[in-house]
Amino acid sequence: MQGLNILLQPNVFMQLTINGVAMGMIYALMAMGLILLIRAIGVMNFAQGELLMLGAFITWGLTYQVKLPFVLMIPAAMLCFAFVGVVFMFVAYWPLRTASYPTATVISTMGAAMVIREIATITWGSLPLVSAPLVKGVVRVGSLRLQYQYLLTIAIGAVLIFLVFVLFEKLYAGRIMQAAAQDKYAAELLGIPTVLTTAATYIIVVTLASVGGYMIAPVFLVNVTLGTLQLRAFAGVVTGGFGSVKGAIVGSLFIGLVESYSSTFTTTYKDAVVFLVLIVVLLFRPQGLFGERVADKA
Amino acid sequence: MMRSTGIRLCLCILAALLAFPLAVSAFDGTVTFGAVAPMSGTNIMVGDFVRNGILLAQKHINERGGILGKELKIVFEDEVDNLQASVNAMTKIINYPEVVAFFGSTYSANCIAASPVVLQKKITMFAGGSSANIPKEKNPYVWQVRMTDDQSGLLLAKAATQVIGMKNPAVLYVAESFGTGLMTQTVSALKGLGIDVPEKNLYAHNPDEKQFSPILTQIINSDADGLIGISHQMPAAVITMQATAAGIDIPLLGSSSFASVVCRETAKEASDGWMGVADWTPDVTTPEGKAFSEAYREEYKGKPDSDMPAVTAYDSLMLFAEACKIANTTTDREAINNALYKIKAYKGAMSTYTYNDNHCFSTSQFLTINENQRAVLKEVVYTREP
Repeated sequence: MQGLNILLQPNVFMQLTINGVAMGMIYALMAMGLILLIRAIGVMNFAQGELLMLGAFITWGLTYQVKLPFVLMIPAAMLCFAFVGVVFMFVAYWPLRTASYPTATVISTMGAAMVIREIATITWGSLPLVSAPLVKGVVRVGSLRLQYQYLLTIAIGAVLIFLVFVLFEKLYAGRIMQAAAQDKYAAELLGIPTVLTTAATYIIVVTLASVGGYMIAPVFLVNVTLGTLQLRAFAGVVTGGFGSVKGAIVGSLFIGLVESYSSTFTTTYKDAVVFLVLIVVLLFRPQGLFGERVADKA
Repeated sequence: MMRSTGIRLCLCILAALLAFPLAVSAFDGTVTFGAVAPMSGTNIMVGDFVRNGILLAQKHINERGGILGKELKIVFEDEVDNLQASVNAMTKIINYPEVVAFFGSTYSANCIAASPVVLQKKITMFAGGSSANIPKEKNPYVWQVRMTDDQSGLLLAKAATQVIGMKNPAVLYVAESFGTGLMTQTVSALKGLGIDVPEKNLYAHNPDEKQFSPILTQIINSDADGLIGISHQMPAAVITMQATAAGIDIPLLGSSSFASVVCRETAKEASDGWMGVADWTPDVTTPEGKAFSEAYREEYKGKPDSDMPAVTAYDSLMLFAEACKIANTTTDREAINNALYKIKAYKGAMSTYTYNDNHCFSTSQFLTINENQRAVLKEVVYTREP
């Protein structure tokens, strides 16, 4: 009851909602990447959190080590993300795509996560690094204080999600990628270069996660533990419905809000509450909020 | 001709005699000390400090002629960032026949987990952790250089009430062995000082927590008149940054980590204003502390300043050397362990060490305040006679 009273204080509720949506956006960027890879190549990527972490390190390196101005840092970072995406694909997926043991690629992503973490440690060291927020300061609405960084995270997350929707729903390139994902053999017969469409998917996945890393770096610091956020993205994917991009986004926002609101009831078992809610959702809708029942499909 | 040949021969013999000491080692054998540290994984920064502290102590001891004339050698094992790997690393070190004693994990839970193996093998372990649960194991081979949390809790409570004047503090703590223990001891000590901390003012966070804004939002909107932070170094840095961003404007007091180099150098000006009850500050004023602090800066130029894990590891090795001297042996594990009971008023870098019934040597901590990203020493506070 006491937790509910705290939650219902207007200031607390508003602040927690903004925090929850901002974190939900970060989880959504990772979750979308997870779904895109599952749909494109059928692989659950356990290195998604580490890709987010690597994105934070890359943008930090370009800003503070290479000392690029913001306008040059963004395209340079995009090129780096694309490079990482292609390397990740050709190292962690491509050699194993025809493996007789289908989960080999999943195991490979787990190994890749460790390798990425150690490479980041060797390259940037073990101490957490500070990244300045894109916009410093807070918006004051009465006694409410909303950090610009959270608001910006929500805005940029929303724009990226919109762009991915446009790509896959409206653009020819997106349809080609979807076609190659659905039936690789048929797509190749039609002359679609599936290696390129797969690489494009990897680039998009890495870019989404990396932008998430860039956005949270000023709040959480740049360090190798950023990868642990991936667990919430998984929860978002499962809550929303495995395989559904829309579900992954809604599920991630839901997880972000549950995580934020639950802190008024318990801070110790905040994570447990998140996964308890996940279990409850699955009890009533095993297919997730937007997923299709397998039996219905059959 | 004969004469010049004789002179040449004499010169050759003289040269050989002069060169002889250079050809053989200055030491009469070796003594090996083990050290466990996270040298990979997410806690590698702690491992760097431990390693630096151990290597500096090794250098200083060997420069002074080793231990009882024997050269000090170090064997390191990587405890990575999880309990299982840590216990494996400690078990491996324990089973090296040449290792006489070792520096255990910096994490209390790992030290407690390794305690049965230590007892079975009867080898001295200097635990890097500060949990008051370590002495509860009643393991005669486990020793703590740092002050235990029950004592730190008392100092935190005194600083909160008597120095800052908090009457209704909120406590934000990390929900694991160290944090829960220190929180319990602090709340208990506050009660002893006439302040009951209600349940609603206790906020736990998970060890890998990064998002403190929801908790800080609640604290800001509560009736708490101060915040006591109890956490590890990196969360401490994030807490100070997010507290500043959230506009928290109540007095702030933290455990040792809030005065740490990692916290101050990471959070920069956001760490300013936090008071701390710290195991260590490089601004220490005792001669032994200053000597260590300056030697560390000299040895590790361009790297972060010394921090608690470094000085804990350094002093552990120094206490081991002292115990060897008291026992007059570098090989008899049991005699060396028994000699630790005789440590009294040994002036280390971090504290003056005296044996205590709970196997904890430290007698003091530092009350600091972060100003311009430095942990400025306000007072050395003792919990018992050094």
